[in-house]
Amino acid sequence: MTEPSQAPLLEVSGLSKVFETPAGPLKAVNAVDFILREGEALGLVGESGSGKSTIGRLVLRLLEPSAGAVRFDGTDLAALPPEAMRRLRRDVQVVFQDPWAALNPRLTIGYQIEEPLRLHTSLSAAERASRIAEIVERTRLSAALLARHPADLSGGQLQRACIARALVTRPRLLVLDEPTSSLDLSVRAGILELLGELKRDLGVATIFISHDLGTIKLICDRVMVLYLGTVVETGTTAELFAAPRHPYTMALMSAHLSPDPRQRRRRILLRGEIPSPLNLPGGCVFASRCPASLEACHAQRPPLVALDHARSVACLRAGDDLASLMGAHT
Amino acid sequence: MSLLSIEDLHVHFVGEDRLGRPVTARALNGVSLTLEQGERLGLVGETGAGKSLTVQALMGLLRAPARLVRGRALFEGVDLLALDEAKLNRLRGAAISMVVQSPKTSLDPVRRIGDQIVRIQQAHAPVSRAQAWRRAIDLLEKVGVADAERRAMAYPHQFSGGMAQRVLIAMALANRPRLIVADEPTTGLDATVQAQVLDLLTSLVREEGASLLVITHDIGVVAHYCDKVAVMFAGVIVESGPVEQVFGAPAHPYTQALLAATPERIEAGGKAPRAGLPPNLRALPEGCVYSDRCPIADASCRTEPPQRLLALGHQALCHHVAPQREALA
Repeated sequence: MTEPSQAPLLEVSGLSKVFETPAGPLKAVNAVDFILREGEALGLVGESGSGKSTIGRLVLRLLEPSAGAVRFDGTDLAALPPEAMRRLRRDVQVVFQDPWAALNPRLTIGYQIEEPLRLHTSLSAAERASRIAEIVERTRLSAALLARHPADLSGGQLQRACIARALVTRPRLLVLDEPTSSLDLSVRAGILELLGELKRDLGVATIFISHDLGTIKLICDRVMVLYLGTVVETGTTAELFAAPRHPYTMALMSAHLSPDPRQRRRRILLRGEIPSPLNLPGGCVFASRCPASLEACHAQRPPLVALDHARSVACLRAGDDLASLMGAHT
Repeated sequence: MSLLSIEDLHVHFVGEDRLGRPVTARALNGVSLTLEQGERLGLVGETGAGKSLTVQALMGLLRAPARLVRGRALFEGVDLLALDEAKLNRLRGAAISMVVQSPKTSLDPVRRIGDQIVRIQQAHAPVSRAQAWRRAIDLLEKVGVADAERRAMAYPHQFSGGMAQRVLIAMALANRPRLIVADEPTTGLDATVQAQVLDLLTSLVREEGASLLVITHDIGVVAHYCDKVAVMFAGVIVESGPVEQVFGAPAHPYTQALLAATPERIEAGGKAPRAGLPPNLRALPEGCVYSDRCPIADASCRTEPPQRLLALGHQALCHHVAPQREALA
């Protein structure tokens, strides 16, 4: 892994996204701030409607923010002219959840891995061929598959092809949006192992979007927990998993089903379900389901406050003994 | 007598290849399992294992090109596979009920929630509408639908995924079933909602004294909500037994690989197993169905593997399983 440099690779500040819908404005992302350094892996975790994929798309500039800025290597993406945006496509790449939908069924795998090189670089045909050979080996795709079409490949092979396509331009930032969620367990294990290897060897900075805590824990250096488009807690993976401080993080972890039947869980029972982002609560976004909520929690939205150099929590009660207030059952 | 006993179930898909030659995909290759009164059994496996197909066969839902080749499925001693449609219909939705993966598409979109719960009761017993409606409200309250009297008047689109899944559970319980089959009951749901729904389902099953057959690809669901587990690969149950024993000392190489593939085990320093392609049901190897990808397979694996009893109720279908498991523990 590369040493963290001074300037962050990615700096996101006040990022918000509102979708106009027939039912009214849908607030998908609300004033999110974070930075990502070279070589770092940041996990965005949350349930449906938490805004994690929207943040990924805003960073990729597949969506335009309603407010706030995304700065890559010191440059505001919104201010980039189209030509510079094209150069950026080489540096920022993405792998989506569904490899069957991400590849064109009528083009060969080899053509599709080569495509970003043709679009975003001025490499010669020979240089492109050697890049492809290198990445195919690294992602452990068989070279024989390059001449095949997506229908001939298994889900795991297709996802390796998508990863190869994303890495072939040697990007500095990779956005992985639930890259293993549609795969079988044993196939997923191979992809996770590959991603771990790539992170170690290539040092590419990664935003890893997932609803699966086990996967996040395995891959990421830092974690950002989202609820209804709002960051509720952020910290290093080790510290956050060892001692979650926000009631929602605690509940999410207690709902995770580990594959070990002997590992008894401290169950935190939440009431109700996630409110609609069409009608965000005025106070803390989690207050309606929080076992530890006070009247004050419904009145004002708690700011994200730094507890120490690495941990920030958006909760009025962050200083209280929440673990016992949460009514954990064993 | 077991509540449910599936014996040597074989299902093939028969079709033609591009040249018009007949092709047979051997989807189920001798599935056998038993479920006792009050037990919760998790049927686990990956794509192509035949989990859902086993349930479809059991419920009389097989349609061409799927073909039942042989086998029996005894429910309270009666072979479900030999029943005619009318007799099956008297059982389905009553003594045996089902909870499926996509609650939104399993509810009638143009009928009120309460009416749908009334309907399933009236299909099986001569109850008055008023009586059935009262029971519908009770059931909705039981599955945690707040303000049940008002919500019974609502339509499915007014329910979230988690709430719709609760409605399906209410419907599954309506006629006091003795067996509930849940096919990926929480797969589309968020983690915190999944926990609520599984807590609810398993506690109601216990309360009613029913048995539960859960189909899932999620190892965690089996680990925390089932008493017994059956591991499937290529249409065969390769290992089965009490959850604590199978997870504590997995014997079959496939079970070992499956458990080793969870992020938690990889994090704990385990080596991720090498994943093969899903099994090719048109060209399964001779003998053991796992032999072409098994790390310890040898010449003996080309013959049918024996069912080895490892401990009380714990068995694995493998030539190389050591009966003296204590030596490994």
